[in-house]
Amino acid sequence: MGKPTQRYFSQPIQTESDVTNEKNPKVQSKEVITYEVTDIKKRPWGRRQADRHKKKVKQKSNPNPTFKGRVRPSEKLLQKYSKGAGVSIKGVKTSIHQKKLEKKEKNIKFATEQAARTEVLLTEDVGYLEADDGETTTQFTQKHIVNSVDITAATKHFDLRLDFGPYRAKYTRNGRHLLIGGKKGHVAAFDWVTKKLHCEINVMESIHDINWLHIETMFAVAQKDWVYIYDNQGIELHCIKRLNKVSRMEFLPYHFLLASCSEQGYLSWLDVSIGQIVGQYNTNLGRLSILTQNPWNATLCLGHAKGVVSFWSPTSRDPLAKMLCHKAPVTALHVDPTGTYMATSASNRELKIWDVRQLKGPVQEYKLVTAANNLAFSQKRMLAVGMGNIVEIYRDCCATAAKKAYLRHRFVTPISNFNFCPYEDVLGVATARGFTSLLVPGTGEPNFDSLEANPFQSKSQRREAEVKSLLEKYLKPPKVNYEPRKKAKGKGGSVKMAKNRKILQEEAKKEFIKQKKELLPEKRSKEK
Amino acid sequence: MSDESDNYCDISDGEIDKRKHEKLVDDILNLNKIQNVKKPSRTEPALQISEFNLVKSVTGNKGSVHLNELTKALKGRKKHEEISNKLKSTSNKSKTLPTPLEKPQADRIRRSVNYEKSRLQLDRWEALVTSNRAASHLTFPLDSVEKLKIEEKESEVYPTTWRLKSKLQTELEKLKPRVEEYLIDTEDKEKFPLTLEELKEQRERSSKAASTSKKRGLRKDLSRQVLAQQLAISRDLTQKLKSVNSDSEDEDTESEQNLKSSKVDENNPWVAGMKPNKEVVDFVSGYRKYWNEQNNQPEKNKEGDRVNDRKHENLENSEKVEVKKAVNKITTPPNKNKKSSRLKRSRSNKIKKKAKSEGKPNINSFTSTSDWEVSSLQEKDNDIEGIFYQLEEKLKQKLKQKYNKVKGDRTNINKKKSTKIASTNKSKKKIDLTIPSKSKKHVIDEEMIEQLKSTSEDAEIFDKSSNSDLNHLKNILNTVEENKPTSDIDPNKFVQVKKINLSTAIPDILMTDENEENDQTKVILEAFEDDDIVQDFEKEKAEEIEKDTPKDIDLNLPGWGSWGGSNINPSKRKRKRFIIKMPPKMPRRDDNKGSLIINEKAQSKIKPHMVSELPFPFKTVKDYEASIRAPIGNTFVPETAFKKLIEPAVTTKMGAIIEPISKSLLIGKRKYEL
Repeated sequence: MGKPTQRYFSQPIQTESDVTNEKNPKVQSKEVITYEVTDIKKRPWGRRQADRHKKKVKQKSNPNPTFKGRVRPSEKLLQKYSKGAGVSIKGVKTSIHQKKLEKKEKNIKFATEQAARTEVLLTEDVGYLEADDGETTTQFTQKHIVNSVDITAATKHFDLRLDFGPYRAKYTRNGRHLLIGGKKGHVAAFDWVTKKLHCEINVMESIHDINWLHIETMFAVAQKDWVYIYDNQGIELHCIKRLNKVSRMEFLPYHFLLASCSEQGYLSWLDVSIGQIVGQYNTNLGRLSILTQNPWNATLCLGHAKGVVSFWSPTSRDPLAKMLCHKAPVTALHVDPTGTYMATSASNRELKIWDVRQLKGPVQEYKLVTAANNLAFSQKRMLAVGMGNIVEIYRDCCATAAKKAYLRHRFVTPISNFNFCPYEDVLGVATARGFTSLLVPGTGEPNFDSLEANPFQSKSQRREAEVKSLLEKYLKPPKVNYEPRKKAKGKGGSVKMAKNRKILQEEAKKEFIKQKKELLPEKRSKEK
Repeated sequence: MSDESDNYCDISDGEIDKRKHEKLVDDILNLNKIQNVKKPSRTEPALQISEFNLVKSVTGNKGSVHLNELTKALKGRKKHEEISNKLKSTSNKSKTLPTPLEKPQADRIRRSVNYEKSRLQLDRWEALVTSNRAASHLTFPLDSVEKLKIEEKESEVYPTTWRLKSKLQTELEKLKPRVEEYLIDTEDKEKFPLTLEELKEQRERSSKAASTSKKRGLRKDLSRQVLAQQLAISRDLTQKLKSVNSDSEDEDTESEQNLKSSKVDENNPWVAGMKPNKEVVDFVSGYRKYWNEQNNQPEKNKEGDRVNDRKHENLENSEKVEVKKAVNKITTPPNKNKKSSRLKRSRSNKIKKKAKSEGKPNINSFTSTSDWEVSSLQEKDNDIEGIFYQLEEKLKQKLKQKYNKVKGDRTNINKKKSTKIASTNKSKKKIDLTIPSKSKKHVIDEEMIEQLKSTSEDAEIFDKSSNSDLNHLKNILNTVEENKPTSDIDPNKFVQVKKINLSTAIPDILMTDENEENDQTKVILEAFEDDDIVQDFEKEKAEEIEKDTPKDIDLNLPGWGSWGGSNINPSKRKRKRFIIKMPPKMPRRDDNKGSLIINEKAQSKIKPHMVSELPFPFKTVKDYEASIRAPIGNTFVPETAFKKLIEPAVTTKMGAIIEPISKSLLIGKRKYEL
């Protein structure tokens, strides 16, 4: 039958050679196997132990203590620029992402610190009129102020007496140039600081509103029927017939949109950069004549005769929100440059300050002697209230209630509109018989960001800024795709998770009920 | 053949006896008158007969045949005895190869070994790879590591500058190839931190210090004689060792260690050739004896301690300090012993240092009155001192524990007097002795109660399990039960701003705006101001809400499946079936705000741009929001910070060849910290 077949898994059969080491064959075989198969991994795979330990950075002590090095900005300043608490590293998966986020946090911290450091460069400061005992700030007239300020500041107070009917006036975004338009067709654009005239024309039509476009070389005029665009030499560039019977205009500088509302109740946005109308809707709210923009989010605010303020954007056919502000027709409204507060006034002599961010309020409520028909916020949140031929300026009237006016000025003729000049302590008031520039200490932002709005802009800078702002509008970052890359087939796990959650919730509910049952009066009475 | 016949028989008749059958077959075969020689066969008890189920031999693994036993037969002649001897010697010398492992097992081992090897290979890359992956900015080609240059050892190079090589030198060079060494280029570290003179000085100082400490040890009065003897012996010993190998003194301790283990260590070349001297052996044995005694001593000490403490129990007003002193007294003698003996042996600077450092913890351990275990800062050493020291420590700890225990007992006996000790005990176990506070009766103050109720009502929705809220509820039930009307409260109604009358100047001319026709309308409007405007607005809001709420869809077709027409009402059940119901009420953003209508549809355009799920590396929404909290554009952030924030992840040097990563990256020092 021969040798029986040997399988590798069967027990080894003894051969003669085995017999020779009969003494302790078992022990010998044990000696050979030295591998400890069960205990292969002594440490976890893939990570060096050294990586886990944080390196202690030895900081050298300052060799020369008299020079303390770079001064860290104060905590208060840092708090001002801080963007809030950062990511807690424990809430991030994988160590690599943790490290990445740590670095990012470091950069953000650096950014805030750097921003706080730049405060050093903001040398200018705001000043106010401060009254002594027994004095009030309102008692100081323009004459007093002009007499007591330096020459350059004094030149900023001037008076233009013009004959072409009630005027409207507007400043450019950097506050350097002024545009005035009289009802009877007089349009003039000039650098109001140097008093250098760009152009002066008569359009031979009634003018309802005027507005600067993104730069001082172009402005739009809402005439009797249509809107016209002129350049700074008074040459007509465009006649936009689709903007019909426009009563008020606003320019949204970041979007390059010329927003206008018409007497027939139409609201339209014209993209100035491509010359197309972005949106034109009938508001169905009657005649529109009170329009401002919220500079923070570029929504338009319309005041209506039913005491309602409506908020609009070109993307939606209906108003984004409607707010009942007064129980009487709204006469004027304005939003402050930071987009925090909105001031509205109504014909029932009310003046209210609202929180526009939350659409809440009123934050403050005032009752005036006569109804205000003009309102304007300055950069430092001063509020100018125009009533008939009087303009009153209020300080700190939003967060706290103002008791008295800060300044007051009385004109001969009724006021048609006014604006605070950005980066200047000036209020430009357009009246029926001309234009007056008033000195109001402490209204303007003393430090300007030259990349944002530069009052001392040169020609080349203006060009640069124009191109840059256009690029900023049209160059958009690639869309971030937050979709998951690929899902495993049928292994989403969301269903299971939902089930688990439900079970847990139910358990908690049961327990809660059980606990509450102890409190029930019947049980308690039984216990007693 | 027999098998065949068997088979045949099985087929014909299974009941025939096997033996009989075989006999029958034999007989038949014998008929031919030729004698057949049978093949040798054996029987084995087995249930199944197959080649795989052979039963093992009786002797088991050892096998049935043993060569040695066979050689027994050759004992008789001298000639054959040689053969048997030879066999024996060969069996002694040679080892049979072990049986190879089973294949899967062997494979497993091979795999695990290979795995381990390759793991080690790969592991060294791990740090680099992770750091590169985590790096926010990388420039390719990677030159994050300092350039390496291969340099010859200075000691090798320098002699070559002197003169021509002698023959011997050249020969030697042939034998011993030059050693090359990696040297980091920029490194300028000192190879020898101290010069020769400095080293000498240091050595002298250390020896002096050792001798002084030795003296200090001698000053201590316990067992001085014994120690002196030992010192003498050890000194002799060291001298002798010196004669054998006049090497540095540092190795003394090492050799001692070897001696102590009395076995001649094969691995140690220093002790290999040397036979232990009689004196040395004596010393070692004496030494060991001494230490055995020392180790036994703790028990005695404990007993002594106990006695001591009992005394203290009797003397109740004796102070804590005394106890401490007593413990000190007991524990110090062995300590001193050890110290001095150790000091005698040691001369090197190293050991002296140790003695110093050991001195400190001793003091600490004595002074500490709390329950903290004061451990030494020193690492555990393998040498004898370390072991001694550990023993010492153990002893001390035990003593201290005992001490504490006894102290605790004492405090239990007389609580009033030993307040100090009680305070120490308190720190160990915080036993609250304050009287359990009774639930105070609530003073009837309606406002406060109301507040409590409202807060707890809110809280109960959120914190179900929190007992504190439950307690609150219970308290309320215990005190007051009042039914308060619950209703939706419009916060706006309560936070009303005071209307402030501003005394503005009265304009000269009441301006008639273009918008307003005349004063009369104004007056009329003012008279009826409230009525219209608010109602209109509320109506508008209701309409808006109505417009937004989804309505039930009625899919009924009258007359379908049943008779229809006037006076015939379809069954209610059927009607219900064909109505698709919509969720009753959707929450609106302007729900609780009276004078506000928010367009809910306008949001729909933003919705696709919003994140619906928490993106990957984040675990909580809060963290995700925090990660995108800060703007990075240069309109919001200083330019320098902006540059940092938008730094690209990877930049490549123009025109440079980017080669795959090489091992050289692993060797050098990093230029910068990642």
